Amino acid sequence: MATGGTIKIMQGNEACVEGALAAGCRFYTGYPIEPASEIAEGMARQLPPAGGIFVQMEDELASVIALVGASWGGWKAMTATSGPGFCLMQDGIGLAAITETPCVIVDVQRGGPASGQSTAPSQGDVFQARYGANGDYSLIALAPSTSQEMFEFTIKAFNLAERYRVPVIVLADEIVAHTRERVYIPPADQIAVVNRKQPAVPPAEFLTFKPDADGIPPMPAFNTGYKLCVISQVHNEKGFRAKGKEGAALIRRLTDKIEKNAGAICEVEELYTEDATTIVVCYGSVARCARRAVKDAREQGWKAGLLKLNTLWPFPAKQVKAVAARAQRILVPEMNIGRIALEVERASGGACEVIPLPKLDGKCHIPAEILAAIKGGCR
Amino acid sequence: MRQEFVAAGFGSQGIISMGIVVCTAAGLYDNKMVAQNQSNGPVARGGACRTEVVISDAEIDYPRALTPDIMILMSEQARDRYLSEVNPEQGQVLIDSTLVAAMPPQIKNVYRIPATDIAETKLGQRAAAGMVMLGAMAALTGLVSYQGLQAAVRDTGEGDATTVDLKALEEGYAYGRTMLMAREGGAIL
Repeated sequence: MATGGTIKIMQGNEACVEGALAAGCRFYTGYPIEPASEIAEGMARQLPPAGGIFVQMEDELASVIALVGASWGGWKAMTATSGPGFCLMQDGIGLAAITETPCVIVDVQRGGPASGQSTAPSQGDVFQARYGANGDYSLIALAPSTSQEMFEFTIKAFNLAERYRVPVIVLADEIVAHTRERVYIPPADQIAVVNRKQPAVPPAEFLTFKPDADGIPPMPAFNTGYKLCVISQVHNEKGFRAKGKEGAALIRRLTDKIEKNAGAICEVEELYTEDATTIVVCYGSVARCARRAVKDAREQGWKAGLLKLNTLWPFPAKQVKAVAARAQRILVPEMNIGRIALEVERASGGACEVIPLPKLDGKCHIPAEILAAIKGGCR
Repeated sequence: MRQEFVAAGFGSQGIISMGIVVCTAAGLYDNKMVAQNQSNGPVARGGACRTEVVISDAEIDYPRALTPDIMILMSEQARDRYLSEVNPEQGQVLIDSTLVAAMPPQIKNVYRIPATDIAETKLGQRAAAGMVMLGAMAALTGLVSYQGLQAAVRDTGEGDATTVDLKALEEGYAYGRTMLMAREGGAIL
C-alpha cells in the first residue's frame, strides 16, 4: 500500500462519493431512492464546498437529461439510482450514447421488476444496463464488490467515460452499497485522472462529431468558441440529421469504439485458474462469496478456480473463452435468474459445461451453496 | 483469524451504532480488516434490528456472519430469532439481562450484563445500554480493544451523546472486568 493516503471506514455508497470527487466530478443530479440514497446524501454534503453543484431533480428522467447537459457544459457529472429509477433513465442513457456524452450512472441494484424489493440485494439489471435503451449502441459497465472497489471503480468509470465518450454504468448492489469497510484513499497526486480530448483544430475547421483516427471525436464544452450541433437523431459528422451510409457509419462507430477496444477496457481477476477443472465466473458481491467457496474447495482438495469480472460490458469474452478452454465446468452464481451465464455460454462456445446458479430470494449466496456446486463435479 | 460479531435487539436501541463503533474500533484502531452491515429499511426503525461485523487479520472474502463467534442480544425477540446461529459449545453470548430473562441451557458461554439497568441508574439514559454492552464485551472477549472503542465513539458520536457513551463504555468495561475476575477466581456467575 502506498504511503501518504488515508484509511477511512466507509459504506460502498460513501466510497463511491469519494471516488467521484477524486475523479473530478463536480456535478450531481438525481432523485433519492433506496439503496442508493447515501450517494445523493454524500454528494449534497460534499459537492458545494468543493465548488460543485448538486441538483435534486423532479424525477430520474429529468436527472439523466440534466446529466447529459452538464457534461456538455464541460462538467464531469454523475447520477445514482436503483432499478425503478434506472428504468426511467434509459431514455437519457440512449441520448448520452448517441451524443457521445461522457457521464457516470450508478445503479445500486435491488430486486425487481418494478418496485421490486427496495431493501434487498440483486443483480437483476445486468442486461438492462447493456440493452436498456432503444437501438444499437455500446456502453461500459463495471461491477464493484467491495467498498475499496466502489471507490476505485467510480474513478475508473469517469476515466473510461472521458476516454471513450460514453455513458459508464457502475452496477453495484445493496450489499456492496451498505457494507462498511476500510477504504484506502491515496493522495490526489497518485490518482490517475483522464479528461476528455479537446480539439486540435481551430473553431472554423471543427465538426462536432468528426472522429479522430481512434474513432472518438474531441469534445469541447459549449461556450468555448466551438460551434456545436448536438441532436438526439442519427447524425453525420457535422451533427446534422443523417440517413443511409452516414447514419450507418455513426451506429457502427458508436458500437466499435467500445467493442473493438474491449481488450483495453475489460478487466478481470483470476484465482487458481491454471489447473482448475471447475471455474466459478462471478461479479459484484457474489464474487466475495465465490472466493470463499473456491478457497474452501481448494483446502478440501477440489481443483476449483475463480474468474471475477470487474467489467461486465463490454463482456470480457476473451478471458472467459480462455478459461473455458482449460476447464471442464463453469459455474455462474448470480443474484438473478441466470443472465451473465448466457454470455458465459456464448463466450465459451461449447468448450465446457456452463451451469447457472441463480438466486432470487433477495439474499446473496452463502459460500456453502457454491461449495456444494463445486463438489458436484469431478475433483 | 476471522471472527464474526452480531448484535441484535429492536430499533431505537442503538444497535446499528454498536456495529459502526465495533467496526471503526477494529478497522481504524486495532488495525484489522472489517466488514460491517446492518438491517436495512423499516425494520431498523422500530422492528427487529441487527448488525454484523466480520473482523479479520486477512482480507475479508465473504462479508457476512455465518456462525457468529460473539453475539450480543438485547431483546427476547432477537434471542428467539438469532440465537440458533451460534455454535452452542464455542460461541460467546452476551445478553442484556434487564431485557432478556431466560437463556437455553445448551449455550455454554453466556454473560449476563444488566446493561439497561446500569445505563438507567448510572447514566440516566436507557439508550446508552448498547455502549455498556460493548464495554463489557471488550473486557470479556477481547474482540476489540477498550481504547479502540473509546476512540471509535469519539469519531462517530456527536456532542453530549459522546460523553454519555464514553461513560457507558467505562461502566460496561468495569462490569466486564469484575465478571472476568470472578470467573477466573472460580466463582459461579
